[in-house]
Amino acid sequence: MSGLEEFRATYFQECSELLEDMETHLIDLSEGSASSETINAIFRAVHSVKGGAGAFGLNRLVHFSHTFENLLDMMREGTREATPDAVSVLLKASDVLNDLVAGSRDGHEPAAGHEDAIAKALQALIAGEAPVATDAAPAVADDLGEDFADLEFTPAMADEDLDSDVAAALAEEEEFGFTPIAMDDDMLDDAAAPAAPAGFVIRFAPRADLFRRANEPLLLFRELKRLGELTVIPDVTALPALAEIDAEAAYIGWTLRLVTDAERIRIEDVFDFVVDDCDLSIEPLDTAELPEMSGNAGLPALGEPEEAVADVVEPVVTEPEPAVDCDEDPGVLHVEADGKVETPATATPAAIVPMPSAAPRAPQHADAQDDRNTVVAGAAAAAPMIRVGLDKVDRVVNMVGEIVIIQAMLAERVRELPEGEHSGLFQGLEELMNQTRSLQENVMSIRAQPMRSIFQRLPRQVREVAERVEKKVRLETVGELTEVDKTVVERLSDPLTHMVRNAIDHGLEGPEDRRKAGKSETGTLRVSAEQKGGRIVIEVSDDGRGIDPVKVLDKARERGLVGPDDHPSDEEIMDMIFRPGFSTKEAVSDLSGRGVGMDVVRRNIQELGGRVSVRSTLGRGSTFQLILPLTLAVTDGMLVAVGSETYILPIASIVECLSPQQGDITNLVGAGNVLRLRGEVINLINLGAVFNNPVAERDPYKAVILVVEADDGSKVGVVVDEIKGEQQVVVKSIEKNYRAIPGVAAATILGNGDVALILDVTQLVEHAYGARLAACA
Amino acid sequence: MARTTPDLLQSADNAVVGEGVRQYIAFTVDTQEYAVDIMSVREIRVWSRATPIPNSEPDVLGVVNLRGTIIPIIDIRARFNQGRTNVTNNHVVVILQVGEKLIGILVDSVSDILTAGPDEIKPLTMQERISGERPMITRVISKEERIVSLIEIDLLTIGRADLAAA
Amino acid sequence: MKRILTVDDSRTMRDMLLHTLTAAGYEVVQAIDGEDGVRVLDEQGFDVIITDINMPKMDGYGFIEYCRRDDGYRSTPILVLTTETSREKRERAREAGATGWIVKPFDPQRLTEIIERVAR
Repeated sequence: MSGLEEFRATYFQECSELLEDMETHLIDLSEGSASSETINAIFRAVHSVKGGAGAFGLNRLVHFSHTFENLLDMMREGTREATPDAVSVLLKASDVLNDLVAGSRDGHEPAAGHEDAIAKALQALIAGEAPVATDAAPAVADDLGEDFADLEFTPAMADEDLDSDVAAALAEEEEFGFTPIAMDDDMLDDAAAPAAPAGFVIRFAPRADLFRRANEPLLLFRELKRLGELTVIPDVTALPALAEIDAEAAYIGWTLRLVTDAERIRIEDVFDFVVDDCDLSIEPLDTAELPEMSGNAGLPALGEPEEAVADVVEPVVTEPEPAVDCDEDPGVLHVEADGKVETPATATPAAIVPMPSAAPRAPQHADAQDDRNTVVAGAAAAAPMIRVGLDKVDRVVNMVGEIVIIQAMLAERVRELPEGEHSGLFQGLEELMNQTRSLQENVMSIRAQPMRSIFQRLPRQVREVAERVEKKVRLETVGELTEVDKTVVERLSDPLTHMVRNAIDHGLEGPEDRRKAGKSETGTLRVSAEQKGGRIVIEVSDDGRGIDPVKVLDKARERGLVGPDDHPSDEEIMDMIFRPGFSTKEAVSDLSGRGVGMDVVRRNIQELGGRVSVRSTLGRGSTFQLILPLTLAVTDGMLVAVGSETYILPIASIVECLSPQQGDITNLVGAGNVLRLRGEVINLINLGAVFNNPVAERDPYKAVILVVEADDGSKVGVVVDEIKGEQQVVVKSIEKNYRAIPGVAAATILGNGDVALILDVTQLVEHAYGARLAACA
Repeated sequence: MARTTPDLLQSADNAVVGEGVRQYIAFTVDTQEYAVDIMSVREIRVWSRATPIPNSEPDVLGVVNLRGTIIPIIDIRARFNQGRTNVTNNHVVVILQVGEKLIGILVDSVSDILTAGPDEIKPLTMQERISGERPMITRVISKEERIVSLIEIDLLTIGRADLAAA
Repeated sequence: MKRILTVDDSRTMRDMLLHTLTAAGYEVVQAIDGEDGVRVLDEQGFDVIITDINMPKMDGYGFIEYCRRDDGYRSTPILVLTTETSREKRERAREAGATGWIVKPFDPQRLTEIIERVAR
């Protein structure tokens, strides 16, 4: 049981919950308000106590709970009745169980014999005796002797039966509980017979049920092979003539020659699950005769079953539905539902023996071939899978990235050529670019995973947290099929878990408070994922109490995050919950605490090139929004020039590009230059100014404006000198060797080998406003 | 000017290396000589244009592309408060492995490979430390008449302002 | 990485399985009873399923039968995890379509051997 001791604490905690639960049910039972489920629930509680007790070697507890459980089992089966007297025994038994659990937990076991009186009372009930003794049987065995006296009439038979039952159960548990196997006489006999070479001949013929239960002969062979040197010889002699073939039956058998020092029981163990679903004989190697191999001309022995598992044997006859199955049960005759056997080599037994060769057999029947093709098409529709190491995929991803860079370089050279003379070259390049893009999208899609793998864990997390904080929560998830890069999915799991816990722990109110607020007792937690313009947007929203900006500000002032004279906007206040050292709850809660705050969530998300923000309405709830790139590797960018520098704006964030006309731009006090665009007023950010580029154009009328949309949906105009064109860019991390740069998401390598920075529009907006606020102050 | 690491490492291999004896690459910035452990040097390249990082500290010249990886270049002269280097094609960038990060430092030229035993490495006195580039330099290689300052390269990944604040 | 679904109403057992199987390099998804298991089945694929017998809502037999009716899980190995040692209960699980069984308490190494025996 090594390595499992650490679960003792969990076990005892669970025990106390189970026992408490059990008591409630027992009280229902004694008050006559029990439902059909009550006894079941009590049974399961005792059963779970027993299960864990076995794991930790608490034999006394196992013994008692086994007896207890047996009676409950009979009661739930209806063979014993829960009479008031019987219920009284159950109540006392639950007390004893409590004592035994507490004793095991604290290491102070109750005195020997403590449980005997009640155990005997239980046994009496199991034996069908009226529980005469129970009236006198006290819950605590202070008067042990008296109890024995009272119980002496308990039929000895029942007692013995039970003990032997328990003993058998324990013995069996030992056998299957995988404690070291004791040798029995049979084994000694086998071991004592020094055959050269030592080993066994195993004849194994599965029946159809074996496959119905998803057992797989090849896996058994693989396991046998670990015990020694294995030779596998297919045996088709059992195959009847076609007309006699039973659709439900399996006819292929194998003779296995295993050279091994292992004992017979090890071999038997391998066939443990299938022994009732096959014909099996195991004989020592020296006495057994191997089947004549020459009789099966052309049938190679599967000397390497491991390979046979990998290189799936060419199925000769297949079952139309499900088509993929044909790959999984080589050597098994599959027939159509109507019993018609589909085999190219009609009724020739040798023909249905699996061949370890990948070469397709030439079918002898034209129509059989047709059928087979149908099957193959069906298999293709079920999208066969191969397993590929992630490192291999990533190598391809990187290579595609390099191709994109080289292509950009090539494009730059080609553009320098006089256009008319090289139209073929231009055209070729364009085709290449299209192909590269499609190559890239396809390669990236290999790494894409649905959000499902994260969403799937949410119901349980929600349930567990809700239970612990005693709140009622209904979880809604939307968009679990949204696909995102594998790394993003993996690294999203922790922050998302934290946000969900946070929402339940801090966001949602308890049932009482919700009722008072006129809401339904059950709070709603909604987690959604969707693709939006080259990004993934994930939202965690609750309909809880919302975040009170006044409280947040107070706390922020208390923590020194805001000066006493500063008056931040509501938006800025909300943002403070992401600041290190901020926590809205006084005590660090067990759940969302652990020193992990929203600041860590923000950092995790930023490391992925994403952003997190929150909006909240007091009394109505909060929504946390994560915005992440779909892939980490490539993005479409607009190259813009600012002074001597080239920057890249993600195409996904660009709404439109324009050259402002006289009168379009107004200078507003406190807001700087704004652009009036079709009735909208859009703030302008001059990149040259923000980046302190001395040679950049400062006059917006001589510049180009790119209207971009920040994550919160607000628009800003980014003022640049010039637009240089669109290009696919390979996203390279700056943080890897340096650190995060405000306003910059990542870098890329241009066609000429230079590095260009990819801008982060939202951060840029924040940065610009921050700078402006600072300038005004 | 094409001086590559393999050349330097090869000559380093020829040196007799004893117990605790290590090798260092020495370089100059103005008249001052500095050194770093040769084990942390990945490559030595001539200067090529770096992409400036907006609003960065003055000693960060920008980022360059080193075979597909983006690495920052730190101007050692600026880092040591001697003004920004007026970079020419004769300047040299030493690429260092610092923990998991790769960074480049801009120096005037690589001058030597030094072999020094523990007895030749001297900690700076408090007085010297206070007047010098604290905490970037706490030890010197003192060999014959020569004094070479050992750069604590771990601190290069920390921004200058952050370091001063610490 | 092979993915295993464990269905058990006992937290101790779930945690022990999680610990053992994760340490053996499997990806583990937990369900707390048959009904929860059914919900999880629909959401993703599994290479092996390990289920308890005695559980509230939907018991192990019902859960196995459900799996075997589902095309996606018709040939997925299902191991019954139970303290029940009586032949009758094991037989009932087999009737429902169980591939094999693991009797609690289990030895971690042996558990992974058993899984290898049935995992394709």
